[in-house]
Amino acid sequence: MKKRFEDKKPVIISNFREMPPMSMSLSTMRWNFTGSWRYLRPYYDHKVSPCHAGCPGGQNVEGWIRLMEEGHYEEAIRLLREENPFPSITGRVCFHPCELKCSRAYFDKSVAINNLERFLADHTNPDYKIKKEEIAGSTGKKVAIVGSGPAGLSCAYHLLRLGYEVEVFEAEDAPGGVLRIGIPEYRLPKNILSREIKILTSAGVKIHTRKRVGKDISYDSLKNYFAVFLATGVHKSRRLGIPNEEAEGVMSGLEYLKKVNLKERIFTGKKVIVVGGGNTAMDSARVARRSGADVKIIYRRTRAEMPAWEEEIEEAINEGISILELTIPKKVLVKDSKVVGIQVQRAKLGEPDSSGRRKPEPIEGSEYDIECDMILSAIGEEIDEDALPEIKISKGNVHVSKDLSTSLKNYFAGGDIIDQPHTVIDAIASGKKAAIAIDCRYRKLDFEEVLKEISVGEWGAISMLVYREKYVFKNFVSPTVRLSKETVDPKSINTAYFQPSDRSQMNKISLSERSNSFLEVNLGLTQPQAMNDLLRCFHCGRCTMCDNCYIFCPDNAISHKKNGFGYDIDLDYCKGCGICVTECPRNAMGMEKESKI
Amino acid sequence: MKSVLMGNHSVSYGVMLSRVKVIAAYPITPQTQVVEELSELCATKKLDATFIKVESEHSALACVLGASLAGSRAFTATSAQGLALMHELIHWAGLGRFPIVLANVNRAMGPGWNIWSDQNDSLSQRDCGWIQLYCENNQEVLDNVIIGYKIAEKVLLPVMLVYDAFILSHTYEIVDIPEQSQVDQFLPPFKSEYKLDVENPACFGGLTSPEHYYELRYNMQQAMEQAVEVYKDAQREFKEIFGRDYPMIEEYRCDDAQYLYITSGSITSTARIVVDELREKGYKIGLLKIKTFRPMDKAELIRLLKGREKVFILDRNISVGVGGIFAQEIKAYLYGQKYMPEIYPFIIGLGGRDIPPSSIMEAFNYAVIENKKPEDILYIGLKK
Amino acid sequence: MIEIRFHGRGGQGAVIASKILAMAFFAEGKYVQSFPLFGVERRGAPVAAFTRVDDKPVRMKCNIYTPDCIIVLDPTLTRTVDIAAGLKKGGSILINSDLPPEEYKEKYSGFNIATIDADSIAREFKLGSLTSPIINTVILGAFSAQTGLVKLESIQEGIRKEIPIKTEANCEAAKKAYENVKLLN
Repeated sequence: MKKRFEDKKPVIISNFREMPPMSMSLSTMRWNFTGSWRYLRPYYDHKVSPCHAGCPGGQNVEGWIRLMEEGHYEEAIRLLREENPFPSITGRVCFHPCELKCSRAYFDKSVAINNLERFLADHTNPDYKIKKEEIAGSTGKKVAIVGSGPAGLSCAYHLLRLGYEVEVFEAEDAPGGVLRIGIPEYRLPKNILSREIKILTSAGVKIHTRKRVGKDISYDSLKNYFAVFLATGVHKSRRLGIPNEEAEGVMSGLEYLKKVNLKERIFTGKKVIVVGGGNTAMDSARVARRSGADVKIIYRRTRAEMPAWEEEIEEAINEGISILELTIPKKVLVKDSKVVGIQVQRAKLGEPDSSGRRKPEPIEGSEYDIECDMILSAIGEEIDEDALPEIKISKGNVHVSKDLSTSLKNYFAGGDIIDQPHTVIDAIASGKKAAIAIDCRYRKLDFEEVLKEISVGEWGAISMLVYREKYVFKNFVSPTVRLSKETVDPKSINTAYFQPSDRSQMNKISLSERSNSFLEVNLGLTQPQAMNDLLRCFHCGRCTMCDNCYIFCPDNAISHKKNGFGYDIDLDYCKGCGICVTECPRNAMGMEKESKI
Repeated sequence: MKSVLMGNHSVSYGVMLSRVKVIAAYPITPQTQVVEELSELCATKKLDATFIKVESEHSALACVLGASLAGSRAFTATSAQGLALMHELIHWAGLGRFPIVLANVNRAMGPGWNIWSDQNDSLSQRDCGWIQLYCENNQEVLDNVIIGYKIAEKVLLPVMLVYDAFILSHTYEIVDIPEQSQVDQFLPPFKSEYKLDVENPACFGGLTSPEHYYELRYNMQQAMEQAVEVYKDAQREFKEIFGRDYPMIEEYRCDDAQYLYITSGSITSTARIVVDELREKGYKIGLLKIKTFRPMDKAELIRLLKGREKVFILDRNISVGVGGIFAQEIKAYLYGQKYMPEIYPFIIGLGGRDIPPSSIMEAFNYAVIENKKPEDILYIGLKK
Repeated sequence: MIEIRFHGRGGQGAVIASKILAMAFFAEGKYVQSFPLFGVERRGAPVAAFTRVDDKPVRMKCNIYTPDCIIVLDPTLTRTVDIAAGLKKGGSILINSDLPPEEYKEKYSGFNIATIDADSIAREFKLGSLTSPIINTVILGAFSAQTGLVKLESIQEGIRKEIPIKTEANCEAAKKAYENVKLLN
């Protein structure tokens, strides 16, 4: 009998003498190139995970979660800081739009991305340093940044790493902007903020405090800078527009928060009314509550329409703050020029207005009075044109083009003064985008072309990492698999491979510990809690070497790559049946039509 | 109504028209569509029957036997390895005298694993007391389901309806689907004299001592012998109603024939073309189609072979150690008879090897043109 | 007797096409037989199916070795399969291809070659998916026009009996193919 499995030729039996005694294989089926049957071809495809696309800051969430899973915390935080300089801050105060997009949210509950971000920041070296080698070769250019809030500092961080000399001008005594004066200590401890800012200053970012541009120094003096980034933020509260608004005891929530944050002596009433349903309203209410006041929030619509984040509203209620829904302020009641109460009117919800929310309609004759000794108005902020240079404003925002350039030559703008959501992560994102836009000017790159290359998903996020690799360091290595721009649809996840599991609930300090104290409320995840949620990640669109394709391939056409991560598909044998793609739990593969040539 | 049907669906329609009450079957290539279509017919209420899903062929036949004993007309279908798995219950059905119909698609036994046509699966069950009907085309497949119940219920022996894998099972042909009223006229509702009855309890298939077993077997032999006449009666009646004729041994251009092919199953159809060709060349040749392997119409066989010169038996099967099974049995029937022809037993088309007219012609060439002597076993198409 | 052989890939519907063609001939009063290449059908693997047509009952129960007509559902098969094997001299070849029949003239000389861009027609009528258009009914329209052996109306009758979904779209697509088949000049 012939030796078996010799070569890739079929064994042809030409007479009965050559036939073995029983039906047995005389060759492998290697001669049968079943690849010729194929009209669809599978490929490995790194797609964009929804969390990555869903983070306005373009953080590669799936990437750092995977590194954490593997225990590489320091690498994970470096990857995170490629896009976002302040994980300790966003890990605490970000409203985490990524979690809304998380595929897991369509299965049981989204991965606790935000809590994991904080966990990562809290469990890595507190003396994080920007490495010399991550700073690109000096451009020899100086950039001025007006405002040291999240937008300004983000821009400063990214420009520094792109090889610029950066000077930040801050009006207040200390840098941080809204992070310092707007967000209460119990949500974002000041030492955490200072630690993050120190990372920037120790790497060379110069921050000039008590330098209000336009007052302490002139805008004109910035003309020698290569570019100026305006990120002054919005500090002017919208007025209530009701009688007696100027009475003693009525103040804006923003001003109140600022005073408390800067530890100025401030009187807090015994009975405080907060007007508004946004985050400033919640923060003001919770701060006032910590000073022992009885706090009521009045809001024109219902809780469902409140722009504040659900978690904030919930905590406010937990802490004993009552919310009066469908209540419109009518008049401040004054006695001896001091606030003694507020007259309000009941409302019902009507048709949706231009914001898409149902419009409150006052109910005639439903007016009544509420006794109070302090009113905090928190119905929104607007830009203070007096604090800005002569610049084009449209619809109450600084007018910017796609590359965040303004009507003033070499001036860019970002953060809350431009038309975008007033959130920390959106501010950070605009700072990053401006840094890229400024760098594109220097490197004479077409910003819009660049944007196409560095965009992440379809919701506007961009990647600084890709920008740096492609245009600055020019060391971009194409992965061995396709890098698709497509964001993974949660429906494409093969959930048969996943078990439902509970999302980790973060521990908080008790209610009794909160009164008269500004201790941080959220305690962060414990190690087992963090591990639990790390393992809940589907890793949408990213191969994890789970081996499903390898196991299910009926033709043994899939093999592990000899060196490194991933698989090879032997196209001589792959029939294009698509089982690998169907059984990929995380949509990290695709099928395409075989070329006819 | 004339329609274009595959062999497997022809069975399903035959079952529907026979008003079968209980169906239990397990799918196997090349039988699958029989079961698929029947489950569809049951689901759409075109057939008022209970369709029982089972986990094996053994269970399928067990269900069918239970249903039959309870007084229902019952049906199952299988092929090759599936039939082999039924083997224990194949005995039960025969020796227990269950009047059921089983459709078996002729498929070669493995290993070497094979799904193509070959008769060894059904022929290896020949000693179990079953009537076996071999079919030439899809019309015959459909009609024989109906005829099968008629004779099974008369002689109380199970009927195995046998047809070739793919060549019939998966081939679409024009089939005349009979009218239900005509079928009802031919096949009255099943009325079982011997059945499970709470009013009159009895044990079936219980311990039978040496005192009685022998006689049971003798009676079975008698029943099989009676089946010849029962078949003929049923056939005559069928022809009157439907106009189609399926003799136990069908003659084709035999009148003055010196030479005869003896065939069974779908080979017959192609062999008719060969006979026509040879007739055109002036050879006196005919063909005998063995329709019923059990019971064999021995007297008719002897009558038809008497005085012929040479007979070529085409066996798509092999009883290892003996040779072709049809040849073996036919030779046995002829023992001691006078004026019998020379028998050329050919093995052909095992494991589904295609049988074009040229292969069938080889038998004639060997025996007549080359004028070679017969041997115990002759092989057509063997790779030498 | 006319013998027709279909070449396709597993999953393309060559077997159904052979059955529809048989039904079309049956509708014209012919005797028919159609069957797949007996085997284990696997998606993408080269498969064949056959149709026999005659004025008298079809007795031949074996494979077709010398067909009169060849229908090729996937043009890539012309590279790997000897599609003209055994084809009678002057026999017809119909290929689903966007190329003109002249492109195949050299390879299959001596035969009556026609092509039809069935993929595009199937896409137009939304048969199958964009990547895998289903062309088995479409190509039969072209066969009718190429050979004249069977009427388009009979093909459509076969489609109506056999195709339960998008029936009329299939019929229209077959008609479009009937009108657009490219014959060798």
